[in-house]
Amino acid sequence: MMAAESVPPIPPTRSAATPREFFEAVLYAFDRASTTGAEPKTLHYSIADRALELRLASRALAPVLTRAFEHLRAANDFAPDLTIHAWDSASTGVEMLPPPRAFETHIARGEIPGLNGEGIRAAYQLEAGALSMLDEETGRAIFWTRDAAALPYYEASAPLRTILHWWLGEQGRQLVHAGAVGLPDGGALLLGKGGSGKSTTALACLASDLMYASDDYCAVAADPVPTVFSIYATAKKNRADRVSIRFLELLENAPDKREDFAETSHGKTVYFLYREFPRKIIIRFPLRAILIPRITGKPETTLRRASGGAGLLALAPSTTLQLPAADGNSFELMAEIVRQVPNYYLDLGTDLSSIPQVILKLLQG
Amino acid sequence: MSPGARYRVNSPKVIHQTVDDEAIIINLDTGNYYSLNASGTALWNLLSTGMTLEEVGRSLSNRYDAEPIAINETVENLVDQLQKEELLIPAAIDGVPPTPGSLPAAATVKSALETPVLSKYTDMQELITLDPIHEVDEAGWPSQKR
Repeated sequence: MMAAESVPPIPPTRSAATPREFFEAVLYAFDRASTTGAEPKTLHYSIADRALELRLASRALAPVLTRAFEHLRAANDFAPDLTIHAWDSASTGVEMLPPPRAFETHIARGEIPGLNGEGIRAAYQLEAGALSMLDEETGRAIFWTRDAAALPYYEASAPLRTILHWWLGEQGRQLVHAGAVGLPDGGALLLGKGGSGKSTTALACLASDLMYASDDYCAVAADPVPTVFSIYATAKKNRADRVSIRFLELLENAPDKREDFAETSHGKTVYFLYREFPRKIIIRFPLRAILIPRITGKPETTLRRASGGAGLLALAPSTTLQLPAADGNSFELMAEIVRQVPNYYLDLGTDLSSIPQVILKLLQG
Repeated sequence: MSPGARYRVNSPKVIHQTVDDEAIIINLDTGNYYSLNASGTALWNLLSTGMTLEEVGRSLSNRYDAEPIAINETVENLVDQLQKEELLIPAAIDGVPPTPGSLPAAATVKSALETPVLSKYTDMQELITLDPIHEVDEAGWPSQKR
C-alpha cells in the first residue's frame, strides 16, 4: 500500500479532457482511495478461462462485488488479463472527479457521450449511481459508486456486469441474458425474459443430478465449440415465487444460513448458491441444446423442437437491449451459437421435479 | 415506388441476423425487435444487398410462382412496412453508395409465394427508455430521486 504522501495529487481535468485523460485521472483517485482506510483487498478469479484481478479500495464493496464470484476464485500465480479497480466515496472519503462535460437531460442505456473512444469505454448506471470504465488496450477497468451501502440489491446478483460484458466481448465470449444447467460433458442454455420460468427451471435443477451455472447471466463462446461459462453463482427471485422452490425457502429461513445465503430487498431475494451448494455449481460445459421455457399450467414437462430463429429471438433482444454498447458483433456471436445447437421449447409442468428429468433425458440421449 | 429505387438497412441502429430462413431484426434506438417469415426473410436479404426494386421483383419471379403484379405489390407492401418501422432507408440517402447485389439463378421448381409477415415485439422498449436526469450531485454526476 502506498503511503499517502507518495500518491501524486489527482491532476485537474480540464473540461475537454479526452476519454483516456479522464480514465488515467480516475485511476489516480483510486490510488488515493486505497490509502485512506483499511488495507485494500485484492482477489483473483478465473472467468471464462481468463484471469481477472479485483482490487478493492473499499472493503465495503466486498459483500456486493465478490459473493457472486466465489466459485471462480483462483490462485494468485498468473498475470491478470484484466484488473478492475473498485472504490466508493462514502467509505473512503475520496470523491469522484467531475465528468469532463455536463450530462444531457437524459441518459440512454448508461452510455456517456464524450467518454467513449481511444480504446476507452464508459457507462453510468443511474439507479446504482455507479461508473464503469474499461481501457481495452491495457486491460484495466474502473468501478466507482457513490456509496457501497446504497447499491441496489440486484447489483450483488450480477456485479460488474457492464465491465465484464465489454471485456468478455474482446475475448471472443459474450455475456448473455440466460440461465444454464448441465453436466461436465454437456448442458443447455435457458432463454427467456423475466417471468418465463428461466429462474425456476434453473433452481429446480439443483434438486437433481444436473449442475447449475446460471439463472440470469452467463457467458458463451462459439469457437472452437459452443461453450457456456458460469459467471455468477446466484439466483434472483420474487419473494412470493420462492415458495415453489421449497428447499430454498427452508434454507433461507434457517438462522445460521440466512446472512450468507440470501439477501432480500423490495420483495426480491438474491441467493448466493456457492456457499450452500458448492458441488452443484459447474463452471463450464459444452453447449448441447438451447431451451426456451414456457409456462403451460399442465402437470408434466415436455419438449418440442423450435427453430433457430425462435432461439435467437429468445436470446438476443434481452441481451442486446440491456447491456451498454451491445451491437452487431454481439448479435453475430449469438446467432452463431443458435445455429450450431438444436433449439427446443421447454413446456414447463407444474410438477417441478419433472423439469430436470426432461432436461437430463435430452442431454443424455 | 420507383422500380430503380434501392434501399439499405438502417445501420448502425438496426442490426439483423438470419437463422433457419428467419430474419431477426433489432432496432437499438426504439427497443423494438422483429422477426420475418421465410418469404419476408428472402425479400429482406435481397433488399439489404442494395438491389433495385425491379431486380428484387425479378429475383422473386425466378423463385416463386406468382404474377409480376402480385410480386411487385408484395415487395412494395413489405418495403413500406420496413420503412415505417425505420428498419430500411433509401440507399445513398447519406452518400453511402449501395452494394450492388447479384440475381440468384432461376429455381427449377417454383414454390407458391407466401405473404411476407413482419412480426413486431415491443415488450422490451422500457429497457432502452431514456432515463431522465433530474438532479446531479456536487461533482456533476447524475443521482436518481429515491
